[in-house]
Amino acid sequence: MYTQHGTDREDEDVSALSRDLVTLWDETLQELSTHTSPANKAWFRDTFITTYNTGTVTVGVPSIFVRDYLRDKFSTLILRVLREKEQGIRGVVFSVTHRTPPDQAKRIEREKQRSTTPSAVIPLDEYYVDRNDNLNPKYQFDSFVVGPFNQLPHAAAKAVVERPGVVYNPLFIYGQTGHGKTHLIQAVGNSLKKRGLKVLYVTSERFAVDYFNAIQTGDANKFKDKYRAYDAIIIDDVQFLSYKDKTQEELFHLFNAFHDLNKQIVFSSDIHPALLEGLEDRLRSRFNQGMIIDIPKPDLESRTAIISAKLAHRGITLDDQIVGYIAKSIEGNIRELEGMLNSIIIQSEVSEKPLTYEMVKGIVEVSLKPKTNLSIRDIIEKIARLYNLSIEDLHKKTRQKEIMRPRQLIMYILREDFQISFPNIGAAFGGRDHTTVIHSCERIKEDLKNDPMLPRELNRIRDLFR
Amino acid sequence: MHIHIKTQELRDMLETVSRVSTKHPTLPILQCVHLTALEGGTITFKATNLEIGVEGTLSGKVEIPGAIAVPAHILLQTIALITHPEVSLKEDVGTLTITTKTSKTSIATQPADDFPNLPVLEGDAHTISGKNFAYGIKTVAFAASQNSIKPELGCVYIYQKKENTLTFVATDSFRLAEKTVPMANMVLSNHILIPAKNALELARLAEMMQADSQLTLSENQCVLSWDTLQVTSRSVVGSFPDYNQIMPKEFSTHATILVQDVMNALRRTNVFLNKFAQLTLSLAGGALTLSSKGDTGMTEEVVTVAQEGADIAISVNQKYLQDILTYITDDSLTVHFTGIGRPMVVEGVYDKSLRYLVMPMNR
Repeated sequence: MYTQHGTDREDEDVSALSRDLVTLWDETLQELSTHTSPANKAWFRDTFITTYNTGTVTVGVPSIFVRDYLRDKFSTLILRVLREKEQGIRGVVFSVTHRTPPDQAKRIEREKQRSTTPSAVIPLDEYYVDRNDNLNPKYQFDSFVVGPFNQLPHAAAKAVVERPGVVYNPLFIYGQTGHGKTHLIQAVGNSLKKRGLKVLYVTSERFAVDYFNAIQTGDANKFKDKYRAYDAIIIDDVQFLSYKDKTQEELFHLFNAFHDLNKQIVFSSDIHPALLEGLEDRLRSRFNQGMIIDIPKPDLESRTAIISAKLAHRGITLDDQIVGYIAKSIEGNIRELEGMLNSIIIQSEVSEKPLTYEMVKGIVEVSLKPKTNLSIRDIIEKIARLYNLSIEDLHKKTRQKEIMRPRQLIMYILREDFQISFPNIGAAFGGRDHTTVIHSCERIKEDLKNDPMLPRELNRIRDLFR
Repeated sequence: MHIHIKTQELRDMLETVSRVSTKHPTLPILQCVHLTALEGGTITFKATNLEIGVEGTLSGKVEIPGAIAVPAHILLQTIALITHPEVSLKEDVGTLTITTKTSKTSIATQPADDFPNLPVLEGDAHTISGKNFAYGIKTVAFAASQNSIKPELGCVYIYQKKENTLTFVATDSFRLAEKTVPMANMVLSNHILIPAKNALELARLAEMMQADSQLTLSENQCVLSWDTLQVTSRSVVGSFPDYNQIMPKEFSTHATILVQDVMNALRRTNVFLNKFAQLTLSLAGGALTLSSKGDTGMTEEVVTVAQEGADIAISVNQKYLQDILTYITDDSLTVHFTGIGRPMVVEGVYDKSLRYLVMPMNR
């Protein structure tokens, strides 16, 4: 993904020369050495012809110091020698180049071979982003694993790419960290870019700093012009704009400018815009104009698919049973899943035998965060607070819906997530019979089948214990 | 050329500029300092090693204007031994004669014309606190890559992450150091990549000058300037990886330790390090065991820690851990672990302006 100044080879016209550029420069250097003192040879170290274009030779030099020296002292001589070889040459220019000179490439190769250390390497290569649009080419739709949980956001993102600015404008994607928001919106950016649109990806933090700087230097108009020059804009993590009133105002105007011209805008945040604190209402209502979609927690099938995809990407195959086991043990976000996979992959690289189910199980168990040590009372209290109820309220022998429902949910969570026995749960609720507890849990299980909102509510509760 | 100049001022100036004029095997002219004396009493000193160039001015009495190039270290050694407050420098066909009331020294000069011109100042200027700029560079530069496989990793990467600050980053892809320093009214829309060696030289001069400085940036160069001194460094064009995406956000274990305890333990483990400098950290039940094992023996040192999260054991290159310790300003540091075979982050307990990521060893 990392290209170094590949573009300056464009529109070159080497066919007009009778030798290739390397030979031409070699011959020139040889000739020059007869005209200058041997000491001067050092000035030509690591120089080479980078381009030849309609009569002008561009000589790449390693630094500004060399550039200025050659230009001031040698340009006439160099041009004369070059012209003796190739009549067509009319001029020579010197430019600092960051392309590796041919002979240095060998040196680097040697260094590469020498640099072996047992330390793991930070995967920096994947993070060279395009400076003009901040898009990371690593994030593509192809590498985005679609499962039941993210089918909808994926489809919406695809639709945006098909008809930018028209179908869902803005597209607002929210979900917890590690669920794939950035991947999805960057993929939108990369796809729009491929269609020739001028795209900009910024984090809201960067946007705020940019704006702050523009105000400070009195260049607010420059800032407006800069952002308005894009065809599509993607702002990641808008929750960080909370309470930044001025920046929000600027975003509001930018939004209007984009929306009026049918230019696509994409936002991401960790929560629903309605729940974003410190956000001005007019901005909130703008977010609501388009499509707001949630990327929920990946379900079991999707987790399995993600694991398989990631393993395939790393060139490792594991037994289906093992993949299933990993998917089942890690319910958290995809980043956690990736972390666990890394540990497993490292183990498989270190160990000489293929990984067995037992080995993986061992790794997973060691690496899993221990379930936080909470008393039953703590758990009840925490959930009760979410519903604005006291423990006493829950103990009341009432069938009032506002109290009964949370009580059932708590029992369900205690049973399912914390494996507390039915009688113990009963005891925690003021000595209720264990059959009452069983009934409550059954009730929730039943409702889970019918009530589409219930899983979300349970997730909200489970988030309390992360 | 013929000038009279205060000895102490001349000596200070030569010490400042001659650091960059090193022995260059093929370009002897670069061992020289270049002097230009102008009518009116301005004397300019220049030195360069083609990576970095320093230019300073002094005032003195100029009798005959002119320019010379003389070996910097020989001139400095001569001047350093002069006790008279004033000295006279006179050039006469290839020889520089230095006279005081009691001494006379002659040095062979080199053709002044051969000395390269230093690049002209171009680009946008920013007023910066030289002290903080130097602090940022000096804190991270050690982590820059020593090889030239990727030029941008041999650099200190400077950019603006938050308003009124500058952030300095360096990595050799095994560890990464990030330091953010306050920089009032700073507005930097692009980033800068300065080769680590050059950056350290800029830092040294910025520290020496004390006063605020002008930072001027253009595509290929980065210049720090004061009234009487200007330093130009080559800068690297290229992009730096978006390392923020790599910084772990979730951790499995946190361990807080006294920095002094770690230093003491490392002194002991240092004795038995193997050729990979492998240091094993095992954290269990509020105690951290640091151990090393070499051909000649092994050693173990236990330090008490405040542990939060699961037990963990991990191996790292001891040098990587050791390097950061001197830059932590707090009494205690916290190591954030993310799991076996995964990176750890080291930072001060309170001061979060310095973050240090270290990769573990594979086994």
